[in-house]
Amino acid sequence: MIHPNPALRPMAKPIPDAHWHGEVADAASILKHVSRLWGEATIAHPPVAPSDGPATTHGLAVLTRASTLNLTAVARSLREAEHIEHTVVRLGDLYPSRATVLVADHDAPATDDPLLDVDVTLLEQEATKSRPAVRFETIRVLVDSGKEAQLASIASPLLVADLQDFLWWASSSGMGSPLFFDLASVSDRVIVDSATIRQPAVELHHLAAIVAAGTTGAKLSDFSWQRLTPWRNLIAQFFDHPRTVGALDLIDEVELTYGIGANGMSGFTGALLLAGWLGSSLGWEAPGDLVRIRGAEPGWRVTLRGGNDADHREVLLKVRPAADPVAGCSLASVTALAHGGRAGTFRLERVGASEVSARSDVPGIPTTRRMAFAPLPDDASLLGEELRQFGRDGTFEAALMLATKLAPDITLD
Amino acid sequence: MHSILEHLEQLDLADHQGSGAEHPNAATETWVSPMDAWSSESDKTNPLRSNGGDRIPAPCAMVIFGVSGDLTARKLMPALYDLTVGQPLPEGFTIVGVSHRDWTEEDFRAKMREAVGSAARMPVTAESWELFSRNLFYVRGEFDNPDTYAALKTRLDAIDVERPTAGNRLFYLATSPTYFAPILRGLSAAGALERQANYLEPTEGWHRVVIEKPFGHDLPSARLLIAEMATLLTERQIYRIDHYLGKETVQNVLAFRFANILFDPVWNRQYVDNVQITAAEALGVEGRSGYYEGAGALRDMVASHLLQLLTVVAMEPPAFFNGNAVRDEKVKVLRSVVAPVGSEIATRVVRGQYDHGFVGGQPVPGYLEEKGVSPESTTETFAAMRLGIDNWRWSGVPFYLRTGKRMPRRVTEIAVEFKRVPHLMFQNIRDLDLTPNVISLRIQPDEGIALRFAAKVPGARTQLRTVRMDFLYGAAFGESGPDAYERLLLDAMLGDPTLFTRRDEVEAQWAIVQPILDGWHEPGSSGPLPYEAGSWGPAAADIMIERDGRSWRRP
Repeated sequence: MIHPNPALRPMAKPIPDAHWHGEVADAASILKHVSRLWGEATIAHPPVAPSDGPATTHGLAVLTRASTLNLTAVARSLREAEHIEHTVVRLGDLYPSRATVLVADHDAPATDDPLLDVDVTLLEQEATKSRPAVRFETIRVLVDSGKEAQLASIASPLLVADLQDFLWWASSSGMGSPLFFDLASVSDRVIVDSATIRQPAVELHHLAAIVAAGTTGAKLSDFSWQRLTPWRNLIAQFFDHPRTVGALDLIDEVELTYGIGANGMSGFTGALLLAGWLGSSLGWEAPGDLVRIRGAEPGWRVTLRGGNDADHREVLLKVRPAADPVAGCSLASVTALAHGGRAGTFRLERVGASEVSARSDVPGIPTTRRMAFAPLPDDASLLGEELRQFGRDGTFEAALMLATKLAPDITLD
Repeated sequence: MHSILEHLEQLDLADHQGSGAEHPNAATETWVSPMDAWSSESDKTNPLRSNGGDRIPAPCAMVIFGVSGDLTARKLMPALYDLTVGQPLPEGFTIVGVSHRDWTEEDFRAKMREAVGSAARMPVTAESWELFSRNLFYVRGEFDNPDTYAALKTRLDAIDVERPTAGNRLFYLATSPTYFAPILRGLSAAGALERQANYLEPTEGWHRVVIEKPFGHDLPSARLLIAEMATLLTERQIYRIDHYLGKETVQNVLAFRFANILFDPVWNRQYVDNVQITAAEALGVEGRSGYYEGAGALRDMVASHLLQLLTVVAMEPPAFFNGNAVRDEKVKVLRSVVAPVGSEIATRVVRGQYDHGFVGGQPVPGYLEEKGVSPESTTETFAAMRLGIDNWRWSGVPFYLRTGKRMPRRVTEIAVEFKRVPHLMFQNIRDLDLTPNVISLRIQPDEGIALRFAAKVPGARTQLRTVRMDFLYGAAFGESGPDAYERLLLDAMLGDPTLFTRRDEVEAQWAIVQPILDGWHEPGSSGPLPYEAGSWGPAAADIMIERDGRSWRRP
């Protein structure tokens, strides 16, 4: 569920004095310190009554140690590690039992020091009227870039048994590295943000490899895909009406514009995924990848093949960047023309940080215009949603496969 | 295909000439779910919705009658806000409030802002409220005045032009049941509500009606209400809410039973000794004496909520999780219930009425001292009974039901108590503290499941003790889940009736409690037994179960 104001989301807070920092040789030593901290914290800091109402009958104010899931997150710099920890404490309601942040600090020089630099912190989300206080732990394991390969061997023993294992590849680089695939192989679900991708053809191919592993491999989630949820809902809604659903078979042009977010993140991959979703849902085939267009409105284009053998038609797909800062690293607009616009024009456009306008013009039907509440989600919202997913998302996987075909072999700026 | 549909239409017409209880097979075994009917019309589906995972209904106008009432403020509007902001509800979703209050549209929105602010799960920001409140409209009118319905029809038609509601209408009757029939007649006469076919998805917008329990106050009145509604609506258009079925924990009973192989082999008369279903409230009548005086615990809780809990714990596995597969099984169980009749009522049913006492350390008045309660009232605030289920799985297993107000604490649970082991090899050890295995399914609060079993106490000697293994929703999922109304409103908009009560279910429920109601009104019948507020009910309830060699759990 998208939070209308992330600033109002309740935060988990560190339990006082329940923190340890030091150097150890292996994962077993880390777990000893975790156990010791829990023992001390349970005695020294029993949970308090709910702040937003009276303590109810037995149980609600009683300590509950989360028994939900394992989250292993990977960072390749201390800045990324801080972002992960900042995000985890803001999840709002569903917290992992254990969040392990594996940091291979590529900003630090490689050394011969064999020890692991470790931080363990116990946190608590305070009780509410309807839920007991929930406690969980974060473990940060820091190594220099030269020891990145050994992080996978540390991650496995730190997983709490019998829980779902989520891998969040939170780094903007390294997707497709040996560590990425090693960790993916011991995870039930891999979460990425393809908005960080710089080389779409290469990196989407890596993600497609996870999907292609089928039931034997991890399931894949993508923040970029989730950012498309309101867009997909609104597009689908255009065609819910019996009088408009037929226009889907007449769509012959789609233009997608995307924003550029902070830290080089881009909505380009999101645009590819949206095109992949439309194409895989409507039976469009891609003859090849997108081709660059130069000129006044630079971008990419490709002509897809729709319909069937007896009645095939061409669908022109155009993708271009928008000079619209409010779009963030997602879409800025979607325009679809049916029969060149003569059978209908459907347009969505982000007009504010929380609003997307929707307009459809279909002959014989009154023009519809409306505003949809579609706030740009922060990473805590996105991660929180992904941690609720357990099954395979066939729609996403089909969209990803087509997006991979469409991805041009370029390096994004 | 066409001839099958014609046949089904004929069945539909025949079905309305009598009650479902009189023609059980016609009502339960030839039913075609709306979802099934829709799925057969594949040429109408939107391929962009075909992934099945997104539960997003088509835009509709939801008309709430009694919008100035408590239910709207506490439950409906907060649930609709949460659904809208959380985005399961589509753009263009529209709410039209109807009441006799002399409110302007701005007054209505301001009132709803207060309600949402105090009860919604999601925070309310200026921006989110602005976007939500654009969907709120108000029509003032008396429910017995035809002008009200004419004005509403005009408004709904205008909304269909201005918004993408496409003629889809969900009428929610958050009113006293006495208004159900007049409102439906008014809507129908004004052309705002059409009777739609039972087995085909309407082509020009669906019309559905949601009503809240009580569905009648006894079996004859329930049948009358069903018959009245059937003259204006087909069964697929009627959504009867028992909000217990919308609770995550009640749905989880089905998941627990039917998604785990572990429990099924022991879920029967071979291993289960008895089942206890308790719904206890710490509160008294709390300003609802007007309603409660005419209802009592039997009608208010047993006839609906407790029997629903009984069905989910006792039903056979349905083939599918859809409206009729699930409800068919529930109806079968209800029809297998052996309810006490005649002289059995005195020994198998106990009714009580709370006297003054202490609850949670606070003094509380007795029921007869409550505002609005007659000093001569014989309304029961407690009911306990022993039921049986005459079928292959449960024959001989007693089901004990208990509900009451002003009990020590608020708790609802289903406890399945198992038989003892056939031979205990640990007979010679000291301190043998063993009680039978129990699986307790806690509906509220502390939602979860607990298993009680024997374990060896650590140490050099053999000593056994009963221990408890706990699963807590809060620990496993970290969140309490949506309110029951969020789930049920969304289901009604999606046309999924699985968690709503079908008419034959309503009749079967009343058929179980009607003999008890009749028995209590027999001349010479003693009234409810007093019990101290803050206790677990009259001593007679303990005697009733002890007569069977068992005792009530202390949940």
